[in-house]
Order: sequence, then C-alpha cells, then structure tokens
Amino acid sequence: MSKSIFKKIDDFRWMLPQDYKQGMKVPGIIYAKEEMLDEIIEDGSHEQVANAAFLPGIVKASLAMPDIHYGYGLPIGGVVATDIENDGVVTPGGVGFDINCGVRLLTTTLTYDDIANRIEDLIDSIFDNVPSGVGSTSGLKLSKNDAKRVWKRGAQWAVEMGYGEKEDLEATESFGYIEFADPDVISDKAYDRGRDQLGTLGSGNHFLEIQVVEQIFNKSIADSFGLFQGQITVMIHTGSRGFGHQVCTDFLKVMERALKKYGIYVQDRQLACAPYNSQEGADYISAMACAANFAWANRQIITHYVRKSFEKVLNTKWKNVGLKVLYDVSHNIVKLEEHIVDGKKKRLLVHRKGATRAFPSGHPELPEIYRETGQPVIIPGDMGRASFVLCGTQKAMEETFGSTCHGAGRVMSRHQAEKVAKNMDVIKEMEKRGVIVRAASKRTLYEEIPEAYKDVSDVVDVVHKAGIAKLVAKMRPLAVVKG
Amino acid sequence: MGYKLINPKADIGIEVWGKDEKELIEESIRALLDLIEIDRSQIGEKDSMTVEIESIDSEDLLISTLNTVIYLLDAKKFAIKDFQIENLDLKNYRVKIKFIGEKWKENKDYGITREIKAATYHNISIKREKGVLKTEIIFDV
Repeated sequence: MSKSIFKKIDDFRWMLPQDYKQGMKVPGIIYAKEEMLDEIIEDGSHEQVANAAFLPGIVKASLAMPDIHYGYGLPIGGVVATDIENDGVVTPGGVGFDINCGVRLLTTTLTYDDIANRIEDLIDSIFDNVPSGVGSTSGLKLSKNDAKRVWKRGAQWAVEMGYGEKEDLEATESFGYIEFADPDVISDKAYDRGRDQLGTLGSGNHFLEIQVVEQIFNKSIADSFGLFQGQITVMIHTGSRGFGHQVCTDFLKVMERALKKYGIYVQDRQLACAPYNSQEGADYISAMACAANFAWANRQIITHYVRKSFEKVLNTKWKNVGLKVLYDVSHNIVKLEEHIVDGKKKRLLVHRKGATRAFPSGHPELPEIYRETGQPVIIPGDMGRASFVLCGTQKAMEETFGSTCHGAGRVMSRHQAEKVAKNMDVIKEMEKRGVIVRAASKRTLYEEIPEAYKDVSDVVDVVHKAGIAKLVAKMRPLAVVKG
Repeated sequence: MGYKLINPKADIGIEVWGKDEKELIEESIRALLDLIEIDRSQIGEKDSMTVEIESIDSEDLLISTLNTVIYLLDAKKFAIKDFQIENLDLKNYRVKIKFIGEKWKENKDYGITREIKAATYHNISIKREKGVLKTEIIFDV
C-alpha cells in the first residue's frame, strides 16, 4: 500500500477518503508531514482511523494527530466526535484503559543556576516520596466512602484534604473534576484496584521530571504563563492507575453486549460502543468521569509530594520557590462539549485518545487566568530530548474539536527497545546527555529509551504549522523518575 | 499448545494456540503470567481462589478470563502459582477456574517486571487452522 491512498488537503493534512472502506460515515483526516505517511501506513494506524469512521453519529471526520501510532480500537492520537442528538455513541475504546492519563506542569521561580547542584538530591527525594513502579501502592488506603468522594470530586477532594490550594484547581482542566461522576456505577473490582493506588505514579510511560526551560517561542504568551528561559519546571505524567483500567475493562464487557442490543456494527471489537442516550452509554460516561476524577486527584496528591520534596531539600516553604500549577491536561478522555458543525452549534461527545484539549482564548470553559491567551497545552516528550508548552487556538476549535497532539508517539515496539537498550547502560547514557534517571524497574528503563520514540519536536512542529496549537516554550529534562 | 510474542508498537501481544478452548485458555493464562515475569518458584501453594467467569462468546470468555487474572494479581494481591480449569461450559460461555498460590506477602519479591493494564478485544478472533485453535491477543501495558 502506498501513500497515494491519502488525498492531500494541504502540507499538514491528509485525507483518507470516505470511500476508502465501504461503510465509513465520514472521511479520515491525519495531521502529518508527508514524510511521516509511510510510517503511518507501515504501522497500519490509518486503518484504525478508518475503523473509527464507522461509529454511529460520528461528525465531520475521524481525526488523527501527528503522534498517531497503532493502538487498539482508536489509534493513539485519535480524535472522534459523535453527535448526541443524532444517535451518537460513546466508546471506551476511544478513551483507552488509562482514563484521564494526563500531564501537569509546575513552574518555579528558580533558575537552573539556583539549583544546579541540588538536582540529584531533589530527584532522589521525589523518588522516595512518590511511589512508582509496577503495582506501586501508597500509604493512602481509601475506605469505600472516601473513594466515593474521590470519584465524585477529584482534585477538589484532594485540595480539601490539604493536598494543595484552590489556585491549583483553577489551573486544572475542568477545574479538577467532572460533575456527572456517579459512584453507583462503579464495580467492587474497580474499587479494589484503586483503593491503595491514589498518589502513585505507576509504570510504563509515566514519569516525573525536573526540567529547565531551554527556549521561548512566543514571548508574550510565555510571559502570561509565567515561563522564562532558564526556569526550572516539574512535569508529572500519570493517570487513573488500576482504578481507571478496571473501569474500562468493566465497560468494554457492557459495550460488547450493547452492540447486539442496539444492532451496532463495529470494525474492531475494541470499538464496542453504545448510544449516548442509552443506559449503557450513560453509565459508562458516569464511570469514566469517576476515573477521570481519580486521575486528577492522583496528580494533585503527587504535586503535594513534589512540593514536600522541594521543601525538604531546599529547606524553605514551597511557595517561596513558586511550584505553581501552570496547567493540568488530560489526553485520554471523552467529554461533552459544544462545537460548531456545518455552521450549527452541536453538543458532541469528543473522544480524545492520546490527544489534548487545546481551547482558544475566550473559550467559556477556560479559567479567567487563560481567557485572554488560550489554554496551555502540555506536551511531554521522551526522557532524553524535550517537552513543550503550547497554547490552544481558534483553528483547533474549527478543525479538530479543540484538540491537538499529546506527545511523541513510539517508533519502536517495547520488545525492540529492550533489545537495543540491553546493550547499553541506559543510566550512564542518559547521564552523558545531562539527565539523571531514577527508575523503579530496569525493564521500564529499557522500554522507554529516547530512541523508542519519535522526536516530539517533529510532532509539535506539525501542530504549530497546521495552526492547531502554537508553540510557547521548550523544556529540556534534567532529572527523571521513571515508573 | 503454545504461544509466541508479537510486538505492536505501543503495547504487547501474543499469538496463542491450543487443540481446544480449554488449552487455549490455559496457554493464554500461562502467557500472561510469563509476560509479567512473575517468579512462580517463589510462590507457595497454601491459598486458593475459585472464580467463575461469564461471557457472551468464546473471544469474550478468553479476554474476560485474562482480565480476571489481572484483577486477582493487581487488586486481590493474589500471587498465582498454578491453576486448574474446573468447569468449562462452552454452550453458555462460562468457565470456573481454581487459582492456587498465596496472598501477596509484603517485602517478598515476586519478580514482576511489567504492569499489564488489561487484555484488549482488539481484533480478537479465535480461528481453527489445521485442527488447532489460534488467536492473537493484545495487552495494554
């Protein structure tokens, strides 16, 4: 198969026409540079873009961001919106298992020069304070009643419990919780899996990183965001842990049955779905909200542990060194949002699986602090290269349901990466690049080598040039905790 | 019966085969335990947990069984040494399995190196080829 299957819209948009597969309800549109297309085809992820185009109620197009890679159900980097007033469905496969996996960025008033000789102490203290690794558990053992509060109120609950401040919530997508969470739809199994995992990083691609701002692309927005060259930042990348995984598992089973009940045909069983206006659909959305809230509480509690680490190592109150939340974004979620489709305002279920919300200035869902600039978009990269802050745009609102990319995207399978990494001393190699690494397991370290990922700079370059987010700042990793 | 690794980019998968459904389920569970690298030689045999799994077809039965194993490990903290399929009802797609092992002991290293979030339904399809049942299973890691 060649890239002639795509119809070029412009330099950064490639259409998979609706007649690519019989039964597609809309075309596919992939945001990419031309040179990325061969890899997408080889990977087979364009087929997953096409599969998603079969979903009932899908509007405009089955979209994919430039970090697209083969997942299950929807590709990673996929964005799908369904019209709830027109048989639109909700699919857990359009969100993924790690519900509300996301990224939070903390800014500080410190410069690299201020703490150059304390970075190792800081990362060691964070590694001690934040449980990480396979099956990591925390000291917080949630009673059923407390768990229900977490599911209902997310980061709001965490702040009320002393794990942060009201300002942190202002700087969190959805202000740290989704209202329609309903604990009654959560299984005992999901409770069991999440009860001792709140405040833990987990494993896989999750990480916690001390970074330095290396480059400013947009001075005026960077000033508004409080970002400056040489500044120390901290990035937290994790999600809803076992709780979210079990919610997804539970509801995939529900959706399997719903397919038959509602006579829905899907190309891939992992895209099993139910109409929004059905009990199954409503229950999934309520459960998904519980898991999303769990994840926001999780990142809030980890923020608290990071602040404690800075206090301990620098022997000062955390507020004296900033440690403000710049923003917290989700990149695995489905949300009910208003968008204009064919000139009409519609209420849509926007599935973002490995894609980040990127709302523009003036959007009513943004907090006061970002009403003028647009929403900060936090894009993590691999542990050796860079991460980015971007800003939401009106064009994203018009073209991609207010969405943009989420990260680097893998180019090597975990097995391939492990094979490559086994021949090198990853920690030493990273040290040579100026990055201190602490990892709970060797395997994660092997699987997460920088070479296993696309260069995130190429990914953000596409979204910036395509206009679905604009570049603000680039951060370089200094020290990383890997799960 | 047997299995081999397949390697999608973001996740991890197996191709698994057996002469019948029972073997296919058994081999898939073994593959999952191998994938997380749990050191079964370290696990005692004094505890057991019996679970019954209901599903809507053979594929759902297989995936639901694997997700039950993940739940036992991750949430019930039950270290699995071995298991026996006590009853397999292919008419109603139900299975009853007895897992043998021990309740997780704090401070004991079971050697697990990989966290598996779930077994997925991605392109799941059990097919009979030359008298052998075969399927691919993708795990989210």
